[in-house]
Amino acid sequence: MPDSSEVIDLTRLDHEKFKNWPYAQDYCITCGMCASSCPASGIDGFDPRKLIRMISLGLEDAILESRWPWICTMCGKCENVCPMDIDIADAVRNIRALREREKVPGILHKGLTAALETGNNLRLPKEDYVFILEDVAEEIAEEPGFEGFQVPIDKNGANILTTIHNKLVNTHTEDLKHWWKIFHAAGEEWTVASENWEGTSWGYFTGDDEAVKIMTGRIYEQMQQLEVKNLLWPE
Amino acid sequence: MAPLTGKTLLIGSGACARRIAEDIATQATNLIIASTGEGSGLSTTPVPTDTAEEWARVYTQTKVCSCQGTVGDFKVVLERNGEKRTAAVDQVIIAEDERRIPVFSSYGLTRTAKVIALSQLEKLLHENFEDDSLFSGVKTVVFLVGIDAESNPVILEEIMQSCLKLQAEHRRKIYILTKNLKVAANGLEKLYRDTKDAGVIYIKFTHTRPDIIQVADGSVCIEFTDEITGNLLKLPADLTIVDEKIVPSDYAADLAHIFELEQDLNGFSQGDNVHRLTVLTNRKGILVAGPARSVQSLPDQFADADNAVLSLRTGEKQPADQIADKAQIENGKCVRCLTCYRLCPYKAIQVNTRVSIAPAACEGCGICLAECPRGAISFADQKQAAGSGVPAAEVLGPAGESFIPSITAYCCSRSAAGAAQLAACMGKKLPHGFQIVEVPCGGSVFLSHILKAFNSNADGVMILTCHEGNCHSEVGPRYAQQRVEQIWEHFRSIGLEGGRLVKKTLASNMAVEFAGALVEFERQLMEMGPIRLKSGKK
Repeated sequence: MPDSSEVIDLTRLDHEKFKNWPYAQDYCITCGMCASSCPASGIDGFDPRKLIRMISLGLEDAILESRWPWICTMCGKCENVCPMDIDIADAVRNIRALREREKVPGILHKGLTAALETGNNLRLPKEDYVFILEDVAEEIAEEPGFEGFQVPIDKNGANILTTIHNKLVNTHTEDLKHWWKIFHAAGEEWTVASENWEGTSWGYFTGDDEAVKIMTGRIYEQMQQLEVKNLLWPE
Repeated sequence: MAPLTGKTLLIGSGACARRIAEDIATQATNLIIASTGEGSGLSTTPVPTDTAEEWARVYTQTKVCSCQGTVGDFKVVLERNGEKRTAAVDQVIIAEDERRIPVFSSYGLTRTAKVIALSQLEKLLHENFEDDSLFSGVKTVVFLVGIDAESNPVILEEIMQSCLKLQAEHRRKIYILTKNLKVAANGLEKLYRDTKDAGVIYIKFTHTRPDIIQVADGSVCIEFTDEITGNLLKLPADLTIVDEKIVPSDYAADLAHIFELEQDLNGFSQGDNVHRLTVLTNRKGILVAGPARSVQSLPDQFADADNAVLSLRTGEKQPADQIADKAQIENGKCVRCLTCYRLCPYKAIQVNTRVSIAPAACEGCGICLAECPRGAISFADQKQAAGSGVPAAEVLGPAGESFIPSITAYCCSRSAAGAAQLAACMGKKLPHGFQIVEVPCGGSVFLSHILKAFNSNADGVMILTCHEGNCHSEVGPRYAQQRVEQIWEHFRSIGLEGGRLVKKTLASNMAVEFAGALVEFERQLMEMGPIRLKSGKK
């Protein structure tokens, strides 16, 4: 939240700072429809109207320091009710992009850096990953009706490639079984990749478009290499 | 000097008056124009070439002193440099311009080179548009609009247009400080967007008021808390533009008195009454257009001008037999007390050696009939007058049956009578013992009508008039109320229930309310029982 005790000279602000943004924030009539629809309104004094107002006044420093853009869940209710058609969630995401990467809150940027360097948010080595998958497959094979079940890693020409959320090979391995059993029962030709299998893309949250592009590109490459037609990306 | 004669007298010197003159020019109507201005605008009005006659005469620096007569026969005295001349005309159109008052004092400001009124700025921008040095040393321009008193779309449009020029052409930084933006007029929302695109910053004060401080060099610094973000902000302005109120000019106010016109709350020469829309007044043959009747943008003024000329023509074409019944004075009875002259909402009473009613100006409301202490006034068509006098039929149930109250409802022909008809069509349940007496106006119900109804066995009487501001004669509901209160007083003194006489206002589409009011009245009368007067009569 901006420090409101300081008197700011309006004429020293650069109101043109965000003028080239295509989110129409300049059309705001401060009606407050967004503020009253926002499920996060009130947290730390945040509401979307304030943020849009700060953008149009050009309060750049306050915006970048504020926690407000990070409180927003980008659900989009605000822009759904906005009479001036302002793309509020997009504006929020672009404010996030302006923050120094080292100052992105929580583990978001760390996880993203790990994913860019190692192919997954956990820096999980390939052999550990493959071991976990095969261990889960063995557990399934012990259940009646799934005798002989095996996990098809890097299977060329499969019908579906499915990505993996890192928590499914970390704390929530049970959740892998639900998907796999369904594939098995349906007689589906499916596969998972041994590298660059990460399904999450935290660049979406941090406003990092470059990272999003790289993560998406890797999945596309996997599909090309394994000659898979369809992608299941359950994030 | 012989009187000027013409068909129409046009009063005004601005854009609206000019437009009317141009419209009339196409009809080659004999027009007299009385303008207070120098006349440079109006004298260039195009003159039709296909007529040899002189069709329009423009009298500049000319004011109206007085007016007598009615539609078709006005005698208007014009004055120019102390010289007076009478103009005899059929109709009058008033299109006098409004006046502007900058509201410096309401913001606690004094006019300086750095604090100017909106009109001043517009003049500067208009005259020196190419000259950028005009605003040298000015980086920040602040507009104050409608922070204390409500503004209007005309002022807002001018401000936004000026902003576009200042911001886009002169590259100044513009702030508009306001309470409510009045964008409810053609194109203003788009203009608002255009100003935002140009980079104008709006600051809105809904719950707070900025501190406006004029510093020693005459410039202004404004301090406030942004109501949205809560930031404390200060805004030093190199140039401050103060908005203006738009009010009728003193001359326009004089004209309203001279022509005995209703005025609205802001003093414009047209009452707040739906029957006056768009350019009509309470007087037949006198029209008000554009800035003479309300705050209007230029396109609206032009529309008004066109409407006024159209209304002139429809007024001329109205056949006599389609006009409402006319009141007339029986001179043997009249004692020239001038009650009718004072009360006529349409100023149709003429006083010469005798008092008479101008048929063309009379709207047939019957208020003069109801108030004439001598009973000297009647309608030309006796039916309507007689109708007003006939009270309720006697409704008595067969012996031994329960009491059915007898009700007389005096209904204004413009509202309640329509509601009654609609109620009947809709099959609404109405009391058994009620009778409608249609009257031309709620204000035309005599005291004696009401008493006569009670005297002829009515257990209750209703007077149903138009709503305030919806009454064609404007004063009908008020007169009805006065008379009801008068009778209540008499009832009190003889111990009769005041609830037996009720006045209500209705619109002609209020059938449900009409039926509801009658049924409720019947219920109340049942509780009260038969009126005492009845037993004495039998």
